[in-house]
Amino acid sequence: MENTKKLRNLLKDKKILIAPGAYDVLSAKIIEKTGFEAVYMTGYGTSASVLGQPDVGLLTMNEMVKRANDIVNAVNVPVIADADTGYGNPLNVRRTVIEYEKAGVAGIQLEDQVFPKKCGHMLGRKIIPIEHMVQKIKAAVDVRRDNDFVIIARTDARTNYGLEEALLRGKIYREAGADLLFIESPESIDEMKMINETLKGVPTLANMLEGGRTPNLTTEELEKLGFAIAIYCTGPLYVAAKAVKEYLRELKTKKTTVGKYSDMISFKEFNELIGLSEYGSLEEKYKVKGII
Amino acid sequence: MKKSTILKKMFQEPGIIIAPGAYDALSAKLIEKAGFKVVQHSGYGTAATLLAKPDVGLVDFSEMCNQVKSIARAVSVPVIGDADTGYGNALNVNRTVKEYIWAGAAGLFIEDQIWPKRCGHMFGKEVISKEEMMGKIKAAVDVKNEEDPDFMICFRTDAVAVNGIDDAINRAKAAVDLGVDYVFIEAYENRNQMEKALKEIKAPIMLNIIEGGKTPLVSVKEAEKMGFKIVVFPLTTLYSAAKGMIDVLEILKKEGSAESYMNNLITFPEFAKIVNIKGVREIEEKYLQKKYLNEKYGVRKDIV
Repeated sequence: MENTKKLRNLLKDKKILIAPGAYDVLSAKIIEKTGFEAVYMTGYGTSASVLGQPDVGLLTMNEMVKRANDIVNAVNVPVIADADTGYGNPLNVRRTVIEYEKAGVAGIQLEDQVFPKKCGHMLGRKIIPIEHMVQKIKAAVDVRRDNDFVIIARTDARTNYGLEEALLRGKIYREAGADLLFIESPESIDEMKMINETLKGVPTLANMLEGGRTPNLTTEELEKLGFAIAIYCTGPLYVAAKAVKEYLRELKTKKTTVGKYSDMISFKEFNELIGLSEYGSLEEKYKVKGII
Repeated sequence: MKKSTILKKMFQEPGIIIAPGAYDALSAKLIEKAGFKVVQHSGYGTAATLLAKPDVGLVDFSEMCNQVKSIARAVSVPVIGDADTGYGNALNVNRTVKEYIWAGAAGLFIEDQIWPKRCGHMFGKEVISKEEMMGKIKAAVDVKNEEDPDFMICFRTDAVAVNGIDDAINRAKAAVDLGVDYVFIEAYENRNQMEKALKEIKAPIMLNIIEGGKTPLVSVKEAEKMGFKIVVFPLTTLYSAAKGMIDVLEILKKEGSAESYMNNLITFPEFAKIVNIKGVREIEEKYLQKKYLNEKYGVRKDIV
């Protein structure tokens, strides 16, 4: 089955879909190996991984598509990718959808921020007029080749313009053809409830950014509230960053990493994780001998 | 000498700089071979060669920067990059200028259109406020001063079509005060506008000549006499290449052979010279085993 179709089915399912955030190919692979059914490629994490810079719209469409494509090639589960603002006006959105679709992702997320954008839990975000975003969504819907390709409309209206504006935008974006609505950064459980009551009948997305503006709930709680999907966009990035930091601090202060062994994946486990054994069997299959 | 330093010197010395436009590495190489001392990278040409699309802001910064890089690597003369709007706000400009410097450009121009931008000779242009643009210019000048003080920053304004020549001159003057090295007023509509800009702006000025565009065709000689410091012909190579292909394909389709067009074609050995196939053979001689080369070539010393 096509991954787009798979993603549609997972979203339709009563059970909430959990898509942890991948910032590179390895993190995506670990997400899949742990048994999650979808990967969410985070722009915030990609910006950190590719540029070592904050998520303030410095990354280009091509850099994002390249990363998305690399992830798609490494995992079998559907990949949802962050496409920021679509990188311009509806004409740019058309190209963006074509390129992401070709990269093999099952869906993309487009937001109504002014370009260059910012992470949805940062302050100082500005949004474009509703009509402009509607045209972008329409352009995305028009240009997708596979009708199952999922278009997620995200609104960043909550923080500076209030929940009411965000919900109004949600409704209008749905009418414009969005498949899934992402009301970014609600600030209480009541607001999360209200999102699902007001947008009843439309799949919704919850963004669980640890330490962000939204309460962190369990996946059961989110399911009960009515969310179709929850993403944990920065979690894997944050644990990896902390682990690397601590390992390096140990090396610097203790001049040995022995004390960190138990926190590390072993050589063998890691080779297994990235599928070294498959290459052994391939060597046998094709009778690969030494160097060419 | 660094290419940025070479370019800077050309701006300091007397005489007009002529920079034909390159849309890829090969066109840049041909410009250099023809004896021009500077190559102007063309964004319009890049959109055409990478996407076969018009210049309306569809090419992203990574693609543009890669094109600048491959052009800069292909030639030994300085290359000036087209950096459109800088691809966002002052933060993006910071990244854009750095990456163009790292890509090997000797300078760049950056314009005050809204994003997505469009070719300066098209209708429907819009510009950002002067205040916002000066923030972007400040960011560009700061990066240059940190990374490579000889790198040439050119401010381009598209304001003539939107707000008139006076606003364009006003913006250019503000950019000069912030430290740009030269200015580019896009799409003059007549000679009076050119003369006015040349009179009022105390910095080197670039003239952009697009065959069939909004600006009257001024020859290099005339441009120099008027007082322009640099004149670029961004699309001449692209348009002649496109026309050449159209003509030969028509003949190929009609006649089943390109023979009647042969006089207009470069030949196999001539092309080998352009891309320096001799250099490949020399490297082989130097680094590969003699025995292997003998098996490969016998006594021949050339590839073509």
